[in-house]
Parts: sequence; structure tokens; C-alpha cells
Amino acid sequence: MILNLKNSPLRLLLSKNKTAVFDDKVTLPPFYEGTIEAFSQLGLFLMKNGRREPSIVAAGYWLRKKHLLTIKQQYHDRCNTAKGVAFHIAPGNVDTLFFYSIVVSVLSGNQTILRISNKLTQETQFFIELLADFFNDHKKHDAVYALIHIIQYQHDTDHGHDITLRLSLFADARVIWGGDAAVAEISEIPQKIDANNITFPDRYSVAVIHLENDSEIGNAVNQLITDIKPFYQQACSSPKVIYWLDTAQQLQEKFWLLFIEKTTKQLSLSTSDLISQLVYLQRLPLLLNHPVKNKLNVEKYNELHKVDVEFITLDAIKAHCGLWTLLSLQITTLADIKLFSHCQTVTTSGIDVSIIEQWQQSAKLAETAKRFVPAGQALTFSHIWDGIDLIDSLTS
Amino acid sequence: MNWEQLITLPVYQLNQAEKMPLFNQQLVELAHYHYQHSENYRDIIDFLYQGKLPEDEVPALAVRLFKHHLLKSISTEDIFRITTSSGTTSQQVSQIVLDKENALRQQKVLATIMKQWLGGKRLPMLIIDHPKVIKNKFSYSARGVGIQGMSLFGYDHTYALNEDMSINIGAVSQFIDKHKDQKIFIFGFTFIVWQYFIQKLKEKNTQLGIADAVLLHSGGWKKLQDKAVSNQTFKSQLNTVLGNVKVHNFYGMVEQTGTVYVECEASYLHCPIWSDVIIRKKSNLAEEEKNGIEGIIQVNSLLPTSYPGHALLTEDLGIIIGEDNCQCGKKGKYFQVNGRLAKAEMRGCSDTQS
Repeated sequence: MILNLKNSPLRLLLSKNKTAVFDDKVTLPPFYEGTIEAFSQLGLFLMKNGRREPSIVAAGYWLRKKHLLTIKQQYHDRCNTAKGVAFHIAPGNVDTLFFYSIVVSVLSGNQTILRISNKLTQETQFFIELLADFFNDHKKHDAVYALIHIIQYQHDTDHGHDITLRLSLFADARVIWGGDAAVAEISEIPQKIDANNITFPDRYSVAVIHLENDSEIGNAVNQLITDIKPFYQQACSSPKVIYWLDTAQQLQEKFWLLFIEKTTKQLSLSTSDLISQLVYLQRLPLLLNHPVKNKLNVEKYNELHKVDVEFITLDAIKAHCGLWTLLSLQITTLADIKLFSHCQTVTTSGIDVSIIEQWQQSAKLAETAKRFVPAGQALTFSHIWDGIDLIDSLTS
Repeated sequence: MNWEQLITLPVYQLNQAEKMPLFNQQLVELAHYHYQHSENYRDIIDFLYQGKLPEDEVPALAVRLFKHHLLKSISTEDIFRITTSSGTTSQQVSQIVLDKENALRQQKVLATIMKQWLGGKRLPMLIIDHPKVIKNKFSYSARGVGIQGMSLFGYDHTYALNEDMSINIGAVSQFIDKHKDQKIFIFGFTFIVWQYFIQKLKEKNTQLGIADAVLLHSGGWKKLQDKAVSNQTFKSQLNTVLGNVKVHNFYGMVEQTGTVYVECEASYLHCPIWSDVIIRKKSNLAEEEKNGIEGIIQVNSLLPTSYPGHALLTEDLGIIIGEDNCQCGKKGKYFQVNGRLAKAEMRGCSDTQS
């Protein structure tokens, strides 16, 4: 089948040669050799030419051949054909997620159409330019390039709604990033029968840190910065809460002193963000004092606010807007940690793997947290996200 | 606070040395009053200022807080009215809790300020809106509140628009004809006046030829800025179409109803005696000491007693031009509003939709 959106008000990014005519026969086998080759070349290209943006370098690194082949191996006896057409709706809060969504979809062999926000950050624009440059200069990867479409349109107009509907009816899978509101709204738009609706609703993430001596502080600080600095801490997988596991106050004080040192002039917020941050801080006592009074204390470390709390409420998590606020709790054992059901990532630092595994297996936790990674890797993308195996979902 | 005395103060005649010690003392008292009477306010202060009100400043709440929480310094039984800000269905609205005393005070202060601009007598009043905009008695919208509040200063209230926002030209002509020998009072929201009145009359090539009128308008320039309409253009087109009309914009918000800031002949907004404006730095929200620098507007008002809205950080940009020396002769601070702060780049998790 062919979907012709030539006369619809949409913009095609990437290349002037592309047209808004989509053919569901244009697919490749999952983990096709040419795809892996193209992506690993692209990875090298991004690492070299995207140097000024760490997140682009990280994306390049993710594409190294060895890594792609490791993923391939996990599916060696299944995932024989691509779904067909995958329609992706990318989030606006994480600049590079659109790219991983494309990569996983194309690795699976799908004709991939990704709708991106109309308000692109400079980083995203730069990233898209690099993609266009790479594929325009490497014609041998045209077969892979033919699977990639990035589009923009005014989705909140009648025309935009019509485009979303036609793409949804055309696609064999729809991938919705962007939280509860987006998921609810777009999921109401009908799809082709048997099509997959893959959704990523609101999530939050936490960090658990255990420090025993001074020598561990440097690493722990670096890892926290890596996990919360990008995307203004607004990615769902950036920790919003720190649990201090049996860690001396004096080590925590040193931790924050070092944090200040390392982030001086590193974190900055626009005026609107400063106000949003203030709104959240002023709301916090109202959100945290139910059902009983919480004992609260706030400290400012450069642009970051650390808020000591006795317990956490769902309201305080739901209202969190990133912008570098961390709720901080002291715990004596991992069992003290109570997670809400929409917890996604738990990063850990200074804790024995065996202890984490044990904790992970406790029945209660399995239902909630979906991902356990070492601190510093909160934002590292995985093809299994929020407990959803994207490769499985995008192939048959 | 003794309002019997405060209300008798001249609106625009006290200079800095006369106003500020008195104003600041009252504001500090008011902050302590809310600290005692509003548990939420106390929780916020205790959290952000280590358990007590700071001595060197009166902390401002972010005005957006009233969109999320019902903040009050009175018991539920004493709620007389809850006013809300305007907003489309998708936006959250501010909720302002008023007791009878606070609501009356707002009216009284507004009346005293308006007298300065309209004179002591009620004037025949043309409202540039449609009559259905005032509906729900318990919960008014900002547009409804504005019209309701202003209606007190006029009589023979005539609505210039039909419900579909078209001009009710019959009613308008009749009104102007009836009152052609006296000063009339015209009121409306800036965008509505421009879009549905001035522009439509201009399209029809109609000139009303009004002999003597005062037009007050409010509601913000945002939509007109988008259309690149300056205050000057607004005034000159308005005079062409309507006739001899003195035009005064005013700045105010539902969170501090009563203390409005009216634009003088020199096109600057003036602080009345019961309120004050502070500019905060865009870089860190600290107080801007110098005049003439654009920043975020904080409004302080002595009126709010039933809710802790005495010091509010807005999301509007403005500049304090000077104090006590405006060419119009009024004392006190005078300033201009430069529009809304650009919306925070929506980077929140629910941003697929932008």
C-alpha cells in the first residue's frame, strides 16, 4: 500500500529529495547486514562530527558495530520480519530520544516515519543536519536511508489531526513517547487492525547511593552529574530522588561540596525555568505535608536544590518539573525504599551487585522499578525500555 | 491595619520618603498576619526561610501558585466569593479566596483609583463586550469581574457587542446619540476593543465622532504584540474611528484585584498608594536596585487579607522608569509592562504535543 501525503501540510526534514509518499513494501530484514554497516559508519561519523554535543557523541558510541551485533545476537532465533511501517511520535524533552527510536525501528527493518516537535532545540537541529549530511554523502546506504523519514506538522489543527489519523491507519506499529497526556490523546486515534500501539507514559526515576569513604565521593558525584545534567533533569530516567543508604552525614557534606565545585558555571536556567523551579519549591511543602507533616529542609548547590524529606508523596513526584531539584532521603536498608508504580529507573552507586540482585527479586519491587543500572547510566538508551522490548514489538 | 485611615490617603501624591516607610511597615505586618493565619503560607515560609519570615524582605509567592493551590487566610465558612482568572479550558485558572471584607475593600480601592481618572460622577458607560460574559454569580471569570467592577463607575450600561462578537451598531449609535452632550466612559479588554470594535468599525469605514470620552482598557498586549500593534497605533486608530477619546491602559491581575496601575498621559503606569512594584533580575530573580532595567515584575499590595497574595512574583516583564518625577506630575513609582515572559520551553515529559 502507498500513503500519499504530498498535498498535506507537513514538512519533511533530512533531505530535499524525500517526498511524503510512503510505501509499506519498502522494508529490510531485521538486523540486515547493510543496516548494521550503515549505522556503525554513522556512529563513527557522529562521534567525529558531533563532538560539540556530548549527547550526539553518546549516540554515536551506541551505534558501534560490536554493540549492534550484541543486540542482534539476542534475537538470533526470532524476529524474522519487520512489522512494516512504524509511526513514531517523539518527545520534546529529551533531544536525542527521537534518534534512538528511529535506530531501533530501522534495525528491525521498518519503514520509519517519525513525527518530531515543531520547536526543535539547536542540539536537535544540529543532530538532524548531521544525519542528512551523512546519508547524502554515503549513497551506498540509500536502502537504509529510504527507511528514515522525519516529519513535522501542526498536529493540533484539523489538517494535523487528519495526518495523524492517516499515518495511524497506515502504520503497522505506533510508538508514542511523551508522557500520560500524549499517550492518552494519541491512543484514541484509531489504528490499522492488528497494529501495535507502543506507549511510554510518565515515569520517574531514583538514585541510591552508598558511600563508605572519601575515595568514593568523586566518582559518585560525576555519575550523578552525568545522570541529571542533560535535558535539565527532565528525562523520565533522570533521578528525581536520592536515597542515601547508610551513608555518614560528613561524607554527604563532602559530596555536595564537590558537586558545587564540579558544577560551577555548568548549570544555568532561563528566567522562565527559574520561575518554574521557584513554583515547584514553593509547592513542595504543600505537596509533601500529607497526610502528616514532613520534616523538610532545603539546600542550594549552584542551580540545584536538594530537599531533605522524611517521606515522599506521589503529588511531589508528579509535579516535579526537572530543573535540578532532588528529594533526598536517609535510609538504613534497601527495604526502606518505597517506590511508586510508575518508577522506571533505579541507579545505584557503591552497592554490591549481589545485594542489588537480591533486592530486585523481592516481589514488591519487580512490579514497580523496571530498570536497574549503575549510576552514570540513567540516560543510556536501551532497546528494552520501560520493560518493553522494542525490537520484539517492531518485528514479527 | 487600619483601613479607615489607609483608604483616606491620596492616591498619587505621596513621594518616596512619605510613602515607602509607611507602606513597608504595613506590608511586613500583613506578611506576619498571613504567616499566622494561613497554614500553607506558613509551611512555604518555614520551608524556604528556615522557620520564620525573613527580616530584610517580604517574600513573594509565585503567582502561578494560585493555579495549583487554594491558598487562604480565613476559615472556609468565611469564604464570600472565589474569583478565578480567565483561561481556556486547557489552562488551569487561578483561584482567589475572598471574604466579604476583602471583596468590599477591593471595590473601594478600585473606586478611589478610578475617581482619579473618571472624575467623581458616574458616567454613561459603553462596554465593549457582550452582556452574556457575566454569568455565574459565585465564581466570576476575570472578564466578568473586570466588567462587573467597572460597571460601578457608570450608568446606562450599554454593551457594544452581540454574543457572536459582532458590533451591535444600533445600540452603539443610540447610546452615543443619547449622551452626545456629556462625557462618556468606555471600557473593554484591550484585544477585544482592538479586534472586535476598532478594526470592525474601520473595515466598515464608520466613524463614531464621539465628542468627549474616556476609554479604559486592560488585559495585556500579548495578542496585539503578535500583530505588531503598538500602544501608539492603538491610540491613533482608536481616535480616528471613535473621535475625541482619552485612552488609558491599565495593568492589574485577578490575584490582586483593586490595586490597578493606570497609564497616565505620558503613557506610563502608576503605582497607587496601596501597592508597590519591584523589578527582579532575569538572571537570578534577585531584586533589581536600579531603575530602567527590564526584569520580572513583582507586585506588592496591602489589600489581600483573606488570601496570602500581598507579594506576588508575576510572569510579566517590565521596567521601572522612575519615582516621583513623571512628567504627568503624579508621585510614586511609574513603570511600563513589556509583555509576558516567553513561556518556558516545554521540555517536560509531556511535550510530544508541542
